[in-house]
Amino acid sequence: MTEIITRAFKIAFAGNPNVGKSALINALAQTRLKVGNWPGVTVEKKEARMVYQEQLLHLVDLPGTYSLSPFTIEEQICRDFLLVEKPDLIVNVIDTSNLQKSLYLTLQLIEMGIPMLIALNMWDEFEARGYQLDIPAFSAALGVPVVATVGPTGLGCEDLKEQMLAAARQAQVPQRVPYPATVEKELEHLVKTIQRERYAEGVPLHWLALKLLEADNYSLQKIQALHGVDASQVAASHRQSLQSFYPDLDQSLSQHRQHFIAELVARVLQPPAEAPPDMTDRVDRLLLNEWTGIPAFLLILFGVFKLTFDISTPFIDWIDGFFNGFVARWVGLGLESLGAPVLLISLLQEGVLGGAGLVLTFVPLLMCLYLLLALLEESGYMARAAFLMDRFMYRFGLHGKAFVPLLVGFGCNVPAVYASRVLDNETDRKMTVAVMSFMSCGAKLPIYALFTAVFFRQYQAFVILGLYLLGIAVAIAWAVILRKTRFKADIPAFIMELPPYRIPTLRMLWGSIWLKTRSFIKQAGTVIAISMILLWSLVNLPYGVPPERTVLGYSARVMAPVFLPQGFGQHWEAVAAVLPGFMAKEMVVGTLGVVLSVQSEAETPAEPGFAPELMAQLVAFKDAFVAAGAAALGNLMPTPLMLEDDIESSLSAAVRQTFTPLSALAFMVFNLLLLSCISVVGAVVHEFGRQYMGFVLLITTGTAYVVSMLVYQLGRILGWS
Amino acid sequence: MLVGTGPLTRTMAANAPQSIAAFSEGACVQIRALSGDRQLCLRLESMGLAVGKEVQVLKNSGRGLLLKTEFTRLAIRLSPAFMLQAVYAGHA
Ligand SMILES: Nc1nc2c(ncn2[C@@H]2O[C@H](COP(=O)(O)OP(=O)(O)O)[C@@H](O)[C@H]2O)c(=O)[nH]1
Ligand SMILES: [Mg+2]
Repeated sequence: MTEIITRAFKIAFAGNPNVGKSALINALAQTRLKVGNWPGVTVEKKEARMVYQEQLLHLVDLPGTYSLSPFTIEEQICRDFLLVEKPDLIVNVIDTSNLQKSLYLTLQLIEMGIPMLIALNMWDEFEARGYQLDIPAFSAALGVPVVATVGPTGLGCEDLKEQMLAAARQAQVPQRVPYPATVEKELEHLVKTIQRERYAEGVPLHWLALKLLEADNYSLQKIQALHGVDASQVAASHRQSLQSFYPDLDQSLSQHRQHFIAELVARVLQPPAEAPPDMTDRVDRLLLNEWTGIPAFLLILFGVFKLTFDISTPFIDWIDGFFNGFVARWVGLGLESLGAPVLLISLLQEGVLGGAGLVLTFVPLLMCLYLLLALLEESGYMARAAFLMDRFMYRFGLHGKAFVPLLVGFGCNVPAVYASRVLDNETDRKMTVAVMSFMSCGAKLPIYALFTAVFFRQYQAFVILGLYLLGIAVAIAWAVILRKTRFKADIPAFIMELPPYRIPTLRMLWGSIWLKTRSFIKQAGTVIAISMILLWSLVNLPYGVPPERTVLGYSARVMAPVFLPQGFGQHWEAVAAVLPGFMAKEMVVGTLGVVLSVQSEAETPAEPGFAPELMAQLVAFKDAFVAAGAAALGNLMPTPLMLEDDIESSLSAAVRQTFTPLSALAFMVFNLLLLSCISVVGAVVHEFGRQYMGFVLLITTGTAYVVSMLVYQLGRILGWS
Repeated sequence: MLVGTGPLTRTMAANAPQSIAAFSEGACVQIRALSGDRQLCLRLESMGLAVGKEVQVLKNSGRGLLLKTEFTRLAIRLSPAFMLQAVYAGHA
């Protein structure tokens, strides 16, 4: 496609959280930005591009904010973007049903002195509620063009494109709402001072004057940093002279704005004669009820986990078989026929393909988890869960919103680190992430599956459940400790908007699953694949020596005494499995298999042949769907975690010789409490820096070591073995 | 003499601003004052809890509140850091 682009415009989409900014951009630019019925979905600004009438439009999806006072990360991002990048146009997206609330931000945006356009989004819901709006009068009163839109269906988007381009070209700055004459006079004086002193370099003059009058700390600091001047002195005299008219100036200014908004809304908005019943209120009466709320919450949570594991298990098995049984085998055969050296074949087969296969086996699990989480988000329940949990978590020093990253952590700790951004302040985010790292992630499950199958067959489900609960208990203990020591602060007030319940669309669900899965494959994929190659070298080099003389075997034997108090230090093989486990828990079971010299016998099928084996794989893929469907609809109890029979026989026999039930328990506890993988390390460094990463690493490793030791030693005192 | 029992004083007392936590579920109230931590007050105001707004109390469990104004539902945990005062304005 060749298009002649004559000009480029930068267009910022700003508005309250959850009003459909991302959905609107998706409709305009045919992109797939993440959409969710949950405030705080877009925590960073994202960009999309589109070409319209030979003009390139950069659409910037700003995080949702309620105001431009820079108290939260989102507000800072938003404000800095508008000030520094100076877009050609702001599209202020509004949830039309909440006009009065939305206009609070609108007035602040108008004060930025940037050309503007208002999208009255969610127009469908607004009309369904029986309301009417005098659009021409509304547009005239604000001096801003206005378009009614519906993001998901694209209604009004053609009109919006046209108006966007026109507004960006005309570059007309909207008229700001005037303050009372006395205030305006002082503002004029301030503007003159600012001009004279050149404080406003690159910043709208009037806006800065107003901020100084409001004694906005952030702006004052910026001026201090840029000019080395304490500008609060400049504004102080003006504030004082206004004080005789307005004893509480801030309040008076804000009342003035609120008054303007209320008056405008009363003039242009026509409510229905009789309000139709609100579905959301009815559902909430059940889901937020004192008696039914918590049981419903637990039921939903249980359902999420059961379905995640039940649906994904058949696919995980299939991918495993496909990669290790089919792809690796044929690549090996192919290389052999080409006369490649054994070392290379082994590296490719076990290191590279084994690594890729390992990454891919997680994909079904994560996709299921993402699907169900997306359902919770999209329907509007996630915000309710945070509200329900706040009362409980507050007691342990956690904020209700921390519930979301904690929940996500059970799936994978990496997205959970990023999910901590739903929290407003750094302290809470750091604390939540530290606590979250004790949530047992999906990759630790295979370890429990193996050991419980060998040693605790009858109570397998209970032991696994117990491990998860132990993780939660340790997390709670750390929350209490951290709140009393490192993060001594009041838990901030909980204020959160609960979105209306909405029925999720398939397209949106798929969009969000695909987005997350892709980034998992990209990020974790590289890390795990590289670690797998590294592991392969550790296990196989120097080439040809027995396992205990390889690099890994040697280090394990050196390290082994450290784990004597946990009961598994007597066997270097157990320690050898722990070491790569620091990189990724996915590798623990695999390493055990390697160092215990377990040969898997299932790899040579009876009648080799490429075509029939490919057919068999396709049939198996279809069977996986059937099995997943049956699992999803069928039994109510989680399917017991069983190992493949072939590995079962040889590996479990070897494991039985290496561990006792008690040392196996200690081994599981140690892995449970250890940081999940190297990707989590990366994520924490990215979010909070190296120093904090060191702290998290220290408390998780320390706790893992101490608690697993306690388990083993207490068990011995109680006479277990 | 009995003070404060006449009908006028009773209506006045009923319409003196009270903490939002004093209203039962289902009550419609009008916000009269926001005070305390400035940052929090601005936050509440920007989320729709501005002075003069009519608000419906959907849930009230002492500390935790669920309020509705326009079509916005706000979940709030009360804290000593701020005060939200309102007067009774009817029942939904
Ligand atoms: N009914 C309706 N729902 C919408 C509309 N626009 C967005 N939504 C839904 O509102 C929710 C929030 O959308 P999103 O784009 O993530 O909002 P953002 O936070 O402003 O980016 C999603 O569930 C969307 O499906 C609309 O015009 N009408
Ligand atoms: Mg968004």
